Amino acid sequence: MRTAHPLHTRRDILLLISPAAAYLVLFSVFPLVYSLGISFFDWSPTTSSFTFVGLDNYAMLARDAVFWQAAVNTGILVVASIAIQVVLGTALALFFDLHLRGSWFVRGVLILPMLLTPVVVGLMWRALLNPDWGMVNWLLGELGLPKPLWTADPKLALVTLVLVDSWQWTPFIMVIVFARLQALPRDVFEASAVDGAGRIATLRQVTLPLLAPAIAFAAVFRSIDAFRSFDVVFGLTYGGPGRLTTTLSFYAWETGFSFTRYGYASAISYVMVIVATVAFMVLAARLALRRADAR
Amino acid sequence: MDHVTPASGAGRSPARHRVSGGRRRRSSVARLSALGIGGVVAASSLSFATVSAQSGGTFDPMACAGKVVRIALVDGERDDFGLRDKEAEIEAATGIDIQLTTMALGQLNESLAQNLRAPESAFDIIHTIGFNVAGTAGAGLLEELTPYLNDASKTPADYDFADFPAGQLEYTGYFDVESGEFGGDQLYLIPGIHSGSVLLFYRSDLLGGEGQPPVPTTWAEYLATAQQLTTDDVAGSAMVGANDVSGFLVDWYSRFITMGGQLTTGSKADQTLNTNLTSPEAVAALQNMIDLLPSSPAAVTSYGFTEAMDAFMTGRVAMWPAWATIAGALYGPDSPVKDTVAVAPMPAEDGNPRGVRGGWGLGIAKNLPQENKDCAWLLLTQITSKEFEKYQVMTYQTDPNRISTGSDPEIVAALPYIPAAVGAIESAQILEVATIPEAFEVVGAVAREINLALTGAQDAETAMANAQAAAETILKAGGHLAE
Repeated sequence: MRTAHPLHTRRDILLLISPAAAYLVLFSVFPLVYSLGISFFDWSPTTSSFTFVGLDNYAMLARDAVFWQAAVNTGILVVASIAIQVVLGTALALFFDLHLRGSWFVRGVLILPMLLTPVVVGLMWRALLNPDWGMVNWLLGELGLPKPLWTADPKLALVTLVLVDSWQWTPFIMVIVFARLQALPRDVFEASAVDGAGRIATLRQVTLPLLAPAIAFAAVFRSIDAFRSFDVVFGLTYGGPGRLTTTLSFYAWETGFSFTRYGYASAISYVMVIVATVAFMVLAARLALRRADAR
Repeated sequence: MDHVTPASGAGRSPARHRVSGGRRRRSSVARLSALGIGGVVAASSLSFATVSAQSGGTFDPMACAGKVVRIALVDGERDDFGLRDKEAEIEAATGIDIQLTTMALGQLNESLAQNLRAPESAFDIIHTIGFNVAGTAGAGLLEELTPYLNDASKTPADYDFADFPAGQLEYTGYFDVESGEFGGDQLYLIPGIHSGSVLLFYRSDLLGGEGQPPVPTTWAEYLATAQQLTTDDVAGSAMVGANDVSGFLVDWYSRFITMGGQLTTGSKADQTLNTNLTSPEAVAALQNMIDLLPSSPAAVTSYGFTEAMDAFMTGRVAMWPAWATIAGALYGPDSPVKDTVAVAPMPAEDGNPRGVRGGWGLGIAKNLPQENKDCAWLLLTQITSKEFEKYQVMTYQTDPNRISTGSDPEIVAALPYIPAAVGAIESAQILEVATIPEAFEVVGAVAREINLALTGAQDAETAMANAQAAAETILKAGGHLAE
């Protein structure tokens, strides 16, 4: 005779999942719904206004030049930094897969940047790139090279932001790809060697296709992360010069917490949520992230 | 210091500090006051004339013995330092248990916005920056202080109210709620704990002396002097060239108003308030800054306040218009330029040196029981007294609030820049957009265009046209300018 497992009763199951469910509802679902709600209001505590405005905040976004500039800046940041990080991260992973002597130590050191808080990374690089006494320009000066205004030159500021972001997050791509490399079946490589494939051909025809799901996962994950970049911008450039490095997250923060226009800031954030969700779904479909495709 | 949980109100859980030594000492103060010896302790240890001089009137410094007064002050501007030092003495003199909360500017403004609208504020005394006076006093959220000031039983006889500069009282004192403008005859704030304006700091070994260029008194002279002083080692001038509101408030606005510029016209009441950022004076003020770039450090477009101060303190800059509040650090014993720094009024094209008015005010929340308001006022008179100001300025070099501070021989001997700082405060001008809640947003938008012009990305005329467009968008969104 089969006896019911004590955890199989509906009540026990509900009891066990309730803490996690409560946590999700309180800290994820409620803020999401609440901020969606206030995006339909003109709410500012400094003016005591709390007026329902329907879709006005979203309509205002369409006419807001700063919003569009922030959207373009964010797009450039995501595309450029992910491209750099994927190429460099994959190259580093392949390099470390050679298992040269001492590579474990170098690998460990390279991972350090991603352990730092992004706002600290921003402030640290701001100091390193200080045109008067920063170490980078000092070194360039010693080498007789020109000393750029890394964060103040309109042509260079966004590039600097991309480079700093890449400095911090290339190791993330490297770790993911390297882990996948270690798990690849060795017989495939032996077979390609038997078939006479050279190193380049093996890389193009065997290694990279096998790594594709891991690279895609890392790229999508990092894209979402880069899309909501705030801390590094806050620490490094504060959105300047002018608005040239203002990202959508920074603009939402500034609108909400500096200018206390909570309704409008929520609308900016919700546009970001929608864009990120749609982009993720499209990328997931195209890059074969689903389990069935990855087999 | 103990962390205590806010008793009530809608504060956003800032770090709340009890300044006093905790319940044991509060009980001791209460017991001492009950025995009638609190005043004796105070008189023996304090220089607070407000307490020791109360023999003839009906004012009782111990009227609030055993009561708690909760103060919210801004963090990071050293305004809380003097109070932390003097807290024990004030508590002994008044029997009041002081609970101090400090918050960063943004958090403070947000907390006040909620607390002052709650059924009862969690703070008795609140600290508000001039830009936020319209949002606090102007919104009818603060207690009117005139009745307290005029009541001899509530105000120490020697509380010298006339010693506050008239201009500072107009900014962080009186407010006309009906018209929504600064000034009027309803007192809602006492200036404190520091005021502020701008001064011209310069190297006394490079100019102003025998055979040296004179200290410039107009912006045209300033440009010429900067060009003359610039060498391979020293830049003639520094400014806040980065994406920073000080670039607007200190550098651009000082030039603009003394070139005859008027930032706004119209009235928010009839939705005609607009900025004049494309005016010839607005463009000329920015052009003066652009013309100074060759005489400035190469990296000046990345200079915020800190970077500009670094450059001046390391002797790489000859002249620097800056917030007066930095004087304490420049004249301090550890300053590398303490022997070669000097101050002068800001240059002015119209012959009337003046800069933007800064500073803070201390008020009492309206949504409090009367007993709290009375005790808050009593404490307010202590922390805005001449004696407290002297301690605060001497010890922490914050900008003075009182006229007499500029003529106190002891203060002037220790801090030679103080008379100039008081002069700057007396002549300073209120930023015209400070009466609207979006003031910071307007200032930030213009500062960004100024920064871009300084980087060479646009010329002065284009920058000010873009700034005007941005300001108009903000004014329209705020309902101050009709669509």
